[in-house]
Amino acid sequence: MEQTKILTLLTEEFEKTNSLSRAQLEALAEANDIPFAQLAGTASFYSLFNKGPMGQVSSCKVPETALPGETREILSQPRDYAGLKAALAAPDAILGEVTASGLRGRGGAGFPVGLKWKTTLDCNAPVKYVVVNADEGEPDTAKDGAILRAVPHAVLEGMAICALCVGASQGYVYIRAEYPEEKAILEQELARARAEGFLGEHICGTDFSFDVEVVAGAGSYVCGEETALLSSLEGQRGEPRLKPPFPGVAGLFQMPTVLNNTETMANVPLVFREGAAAYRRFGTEKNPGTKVFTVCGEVERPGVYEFPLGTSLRTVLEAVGYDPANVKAIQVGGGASGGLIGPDKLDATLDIEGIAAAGGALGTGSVRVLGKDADMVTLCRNVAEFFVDESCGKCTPCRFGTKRMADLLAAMAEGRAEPGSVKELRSLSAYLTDNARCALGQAASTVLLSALALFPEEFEEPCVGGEL
Amino acid sequence: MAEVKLTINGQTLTADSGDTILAAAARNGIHIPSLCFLKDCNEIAACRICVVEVTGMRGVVPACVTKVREGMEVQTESDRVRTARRTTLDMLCQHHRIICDQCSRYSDCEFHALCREYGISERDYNPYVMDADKDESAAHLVRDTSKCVLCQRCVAACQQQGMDIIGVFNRGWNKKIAPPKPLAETGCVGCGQCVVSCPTGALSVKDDTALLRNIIRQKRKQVVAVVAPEVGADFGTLFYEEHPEDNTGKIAALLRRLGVKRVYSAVPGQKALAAGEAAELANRQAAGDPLPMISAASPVVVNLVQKHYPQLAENLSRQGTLQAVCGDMARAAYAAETGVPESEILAVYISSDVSGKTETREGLMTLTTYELAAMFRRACVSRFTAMKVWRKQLENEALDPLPEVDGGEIAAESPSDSLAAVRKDLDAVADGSWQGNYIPGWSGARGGAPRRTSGGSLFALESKKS
Repeated sequence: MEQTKILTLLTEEFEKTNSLSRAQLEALAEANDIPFAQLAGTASFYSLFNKGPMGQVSSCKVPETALPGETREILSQPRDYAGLKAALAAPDAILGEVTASGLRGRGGAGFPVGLKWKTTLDCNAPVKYVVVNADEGEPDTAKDGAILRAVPHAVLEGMAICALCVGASQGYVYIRAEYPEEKAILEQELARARAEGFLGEHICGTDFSFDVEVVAGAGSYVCGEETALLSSLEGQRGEPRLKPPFPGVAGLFQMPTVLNNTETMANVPLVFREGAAAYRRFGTEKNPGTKVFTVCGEVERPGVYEFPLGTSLRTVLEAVGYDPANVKAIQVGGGASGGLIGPDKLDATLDIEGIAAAGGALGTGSVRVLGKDADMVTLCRNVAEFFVDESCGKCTPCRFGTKRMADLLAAMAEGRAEPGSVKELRSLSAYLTDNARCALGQAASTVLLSALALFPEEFEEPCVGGEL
Repeated sequence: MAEVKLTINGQTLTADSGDTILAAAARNGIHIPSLCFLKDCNEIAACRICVVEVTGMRGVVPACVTKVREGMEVQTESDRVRTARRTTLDMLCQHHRIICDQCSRYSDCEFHALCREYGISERDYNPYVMDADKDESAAHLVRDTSKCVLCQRCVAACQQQGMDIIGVFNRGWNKKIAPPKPLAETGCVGCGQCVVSCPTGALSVKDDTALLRNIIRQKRKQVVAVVAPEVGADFGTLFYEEHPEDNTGKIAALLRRLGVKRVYSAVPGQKALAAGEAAELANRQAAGDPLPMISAASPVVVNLVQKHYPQLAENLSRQGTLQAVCGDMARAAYAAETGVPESEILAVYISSDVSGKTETREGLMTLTTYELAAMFRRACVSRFTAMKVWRKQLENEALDPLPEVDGGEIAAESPSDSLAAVRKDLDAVADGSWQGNYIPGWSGARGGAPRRTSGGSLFALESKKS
């Protein structure tokens, strides 16, 4: 039994009866020679098998016509695999070209892609993998789904170029359970690319062989964290692993693995289509290229839009027709882990350093507009409750800290908080950032901390009950 | 390995480049508290108790998995570190049902010791505490989820034994460590390593001390005891003796004071069993019965074959377990000596093997070293008076004689600390690829590795904790 098939196995069993009983799991464990405790533990981890299928989280789509100021580079790539053909002509130049393009990861951390690939390239191992993170679990983010619908070929093309560079022969796309439509589109493209010789054995008549498999997750936010994703791909509970070792050195099945975001991979063909220099014509020196943003919240035209990196928040708001004067705050970088940016910082540019300078993080590149009557306590409470649901529960700070935070905020939202709650929230936030085992727990207090900094008055009266 | 220099709390010291901060500190006499860490078994950095501050690294880092580096500056007792540890412990305490006075680990609890160290005491009102959630289905173990601190040491120990009985369920706040069904219905063979690894009273050996005390007090049976060889050494570790000497003589004295009529050694039983097995092996070879013959001396092996390798049932020796043989011999000897009918006699077999309790047999009861120590402590009011009584008042007494059977010099081996290795052998037997010898006493099956003196010891993992 291949471990990467375990999640699929569970999903198929679940779909038969829309449930997973102990008897079903025991029979499945027996039939596939997996310890029952392990299989049942894995099944119990994922929302899909416990709460049933979840609806589409975001309805943001790519509008038919581009907005003024929008630059559709990623989202409008033709399906001709020209980038792959160019890369195949000079495989040894791939790393240099990617490094020269200055392409940075689009998943949140902004790590230089060239450096990441080099780590894996330098590893001496019998097997290497290329994995694409399409587990777009961050609330308010729909850009990877949009990319998979619009240009699935670009993702596969990027993977093939990456595999050619680092010497991998097998790739995986880990796609979230809530994207069945996107999964079907990707699989259709996969079959077509294989038939046309762009994937599989002897790609384009060369000695290079590489194939891709699409694996669906089963409902877990933390599986978007790279090491948790690898655990999940291996058919285990999606719990983050300890770093180091990093996936580039010891990733999937402990083999060197390049793990990139969907959008990052979709950028790769652009670099090879016209060369690194041409790629740099958009964006800034440190943040070249364009980026796909999800704009949502109180705007009239929520959607997925593509702008050059370095475009200011104000420009984006104006492009979607929102009056910047109505902004109370903007949540950049994700509905759960993105911090708030105040109305005084609308000239901050949407790139890694620009948003960091404004006190936030670019993250997944979502822009959520909060209007004048947005309630900060409720916002923080919803986020905290999200984290209680999604924490893997392995480390003490995150398991208990997120719960305590949600309880304090719930009490506050309902006007029954005890004096001292704000102080406890602050120390709890600092504690979580310091002590949590992975990025999920460390980021769980981001929204709260930024809200406390920008709107401290909302967390005092009348949320907090007076003395008895 | 290269040598690196680092400073811990300002003190410069050297360590191997592969060392963790925890190991380097321990070697230099610097104590860093830890909870989920179990060397070579559970190194998952989940509990966050061992956090330390390292200059240049974000937040605080777990000392148990962070490797030392040249020039590293570590603070193990800064305010930030102590506050973090205290907060973490406080969180664990809120989730932990604190009923120390009724707990099996009372006065011997790793978690409680940590709380004491950091000044965490019970809260007046705790909204997060769990209700009791006990699984008492099995004969040998009791599990109480409400005392679990989710360190996952038992999960790792169970996995290392090749069993995978205990799993991790749900996620986040609802996370739970448990077998997926009542313990009695699982494939648990009773190796006991989960109990040894548990830092709280979440997993404990089924306590039969009250039952035994009542039998003695109410004179329902005449009680005789058989003491397994490892008990003498293991009992000493309960009193934190660094080099536990052979305490068998004091144990004999203690058992007699508790009302046990005779205290026998298990060695004659071992010899009798070995002789029986040797004879059976010869008979099997002559009669063409299934070979190799698998010794049934340890209940763990019997359970393993019954639950996991039913196809090997015919290979299991028919001589029974060591405790059954010893029990039968002890009752016969006492009956012969005093004329009391055997049905009136209860033999108590004392060993460090938890799995003994899974065997039910008329006239036989098993007690672990741990339970014996608990009985002793209760009789002495507290651990401190017990220590005093043990050292100053109890004299070595001789064991009662048990007629010996000539079986040569063969020590029975309880294999529970190498269950994974035994499973490998049994797998090989089951699929016909077994290449080993089946001559009694031959110890080359696992490369002739030296045998541990107390095989299935309840305390075998203690030495693994650095």
